[in-house]
Amino acid sequence: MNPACEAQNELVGDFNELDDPFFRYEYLLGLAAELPVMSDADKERSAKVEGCQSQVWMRADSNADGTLLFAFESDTLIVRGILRVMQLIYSGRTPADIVDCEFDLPVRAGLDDLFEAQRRSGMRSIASAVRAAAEVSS
Amino acid sequence: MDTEFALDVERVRADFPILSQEVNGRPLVYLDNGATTQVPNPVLDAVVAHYRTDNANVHRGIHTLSERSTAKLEASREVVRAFLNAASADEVVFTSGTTASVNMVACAWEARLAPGQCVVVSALEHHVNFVPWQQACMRSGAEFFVCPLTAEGEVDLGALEARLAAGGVSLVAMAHVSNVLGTVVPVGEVVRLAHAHGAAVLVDAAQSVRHEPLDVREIGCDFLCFSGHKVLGPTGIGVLYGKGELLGQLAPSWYGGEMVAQVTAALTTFEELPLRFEPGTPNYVGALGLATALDYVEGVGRKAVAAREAALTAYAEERLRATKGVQVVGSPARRAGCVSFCVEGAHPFDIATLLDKLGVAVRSGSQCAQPLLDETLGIHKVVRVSPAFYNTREEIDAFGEALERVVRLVTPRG
Repeated sequence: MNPACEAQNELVGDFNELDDPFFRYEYLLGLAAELPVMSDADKERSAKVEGCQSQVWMRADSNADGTLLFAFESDTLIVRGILRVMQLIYSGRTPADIVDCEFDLPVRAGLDDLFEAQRRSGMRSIASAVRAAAEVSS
Repeated sequence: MDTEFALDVERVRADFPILSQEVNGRPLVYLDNGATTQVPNPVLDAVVAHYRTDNANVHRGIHTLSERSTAKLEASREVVRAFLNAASADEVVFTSGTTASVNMVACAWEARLAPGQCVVVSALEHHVNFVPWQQACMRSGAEFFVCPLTAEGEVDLGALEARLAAGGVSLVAMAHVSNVLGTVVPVGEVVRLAHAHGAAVLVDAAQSVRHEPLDVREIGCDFLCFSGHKVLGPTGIGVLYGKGELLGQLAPSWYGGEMVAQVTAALTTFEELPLRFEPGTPNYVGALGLATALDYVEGVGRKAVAAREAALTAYAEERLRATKGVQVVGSPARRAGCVSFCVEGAHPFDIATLLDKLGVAVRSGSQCAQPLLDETLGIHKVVRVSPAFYNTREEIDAFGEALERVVRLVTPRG
């Protein structure tokens, strides 16, 4: 199975063990703390995506074996949590695995309100940017 | 009955069934009334009844339904006139909201602007009462002066008077109540100062219509605007009040049916007030809904509504100031309708999103007031709580408890 999708399925399972929407977001904040902090210098070298309420930075680098490494940053904790999720799913994967694995965790894990208001978070744009980076590297 | 806050809130809440639902598994606590208020059953019933029995286009047909529909539109105009204590119903123009109203005046007023003249707004303004004037000044070469605030978040009346005294001010456009700080601007005093220096005044009453006295003749303003959905009415309807003589001098900027008297290839003449400013088919059902909403507020009691909202807002501020890590924005002498805050080390988006998961609806972001937040306060984004008279002290407590839980979760530890 596509390792990116395996990682996504595992994370969906983790979120779905939590019935209460607040506890799902609390778990998301825990993941946010795991996302390495991006330096100001790296931010300047990164693509920036601005939503109405949060800012997102993304950097994609290729490993020698052709897999992609993603680094992210945001000024809001909830978005940092989602970005950590995306990092767990897509970082270190081949471009083909990235392109073949649609990012549908928010809908499946009860976090879809974050994607419905794309203007609020810009995350839909980041998912597209991850995919685009993989397509360019293919 | 919650005696501290005067009116029979349980009786009132029965008229707003939307409030009795769960959100994310918890009772809804709707505290985003600054964005829009909820619509009571009498307003919903009036709108549906009109579509069921009296619907026809207005001011056009001679058949019975058209006559009935037109009569209800004009009766609604009279309700608004009485609510504002305007001298004549001809001074009441129905628009699609505050945005349309301000833009209408700004477009027309631009013809009076030239280099050497000035339009004054305050740093408190919502974008709707900032950008239209800024753009009109840019196109005409007039000066666009943003009156600064005091440290407490009040309009600096000394700075306003100084700019007026320097000459050339054509119009002062000012919010009655700030949609971010809740500051109540002494618009009567602003009018007195402006008129003393030959300047007209437009008051943005979007945030004050529900809970401040709005006697346009007592205030003395030349124009006043508000939106129906901020005072229990439907969306898509609002009011532009203009003093008859001044309103009559403005040129319409939207044209079409009904606002014309005679149209030929060579020349078009326009209807008298107010129809001159109501091109096309008006939102007559919205107007009826608005009038029903204003009647509802009168029925509950405007003073009772104002007192209750003042008390709830003050209690919300008290809870905020008692919460560790929370910084209330501004400290005006009088605050009405809303209070905004920041949480140290936390983004307002996180605060509002997590509050939503606990059933609490508030607003986060720049509140359509970037000049205030970015340039004056240097904050960029806040969370805003805006109670209405149908909220309860218990709901404010629920908000306070939810906020404490959220703050513990999102703020850096140690």
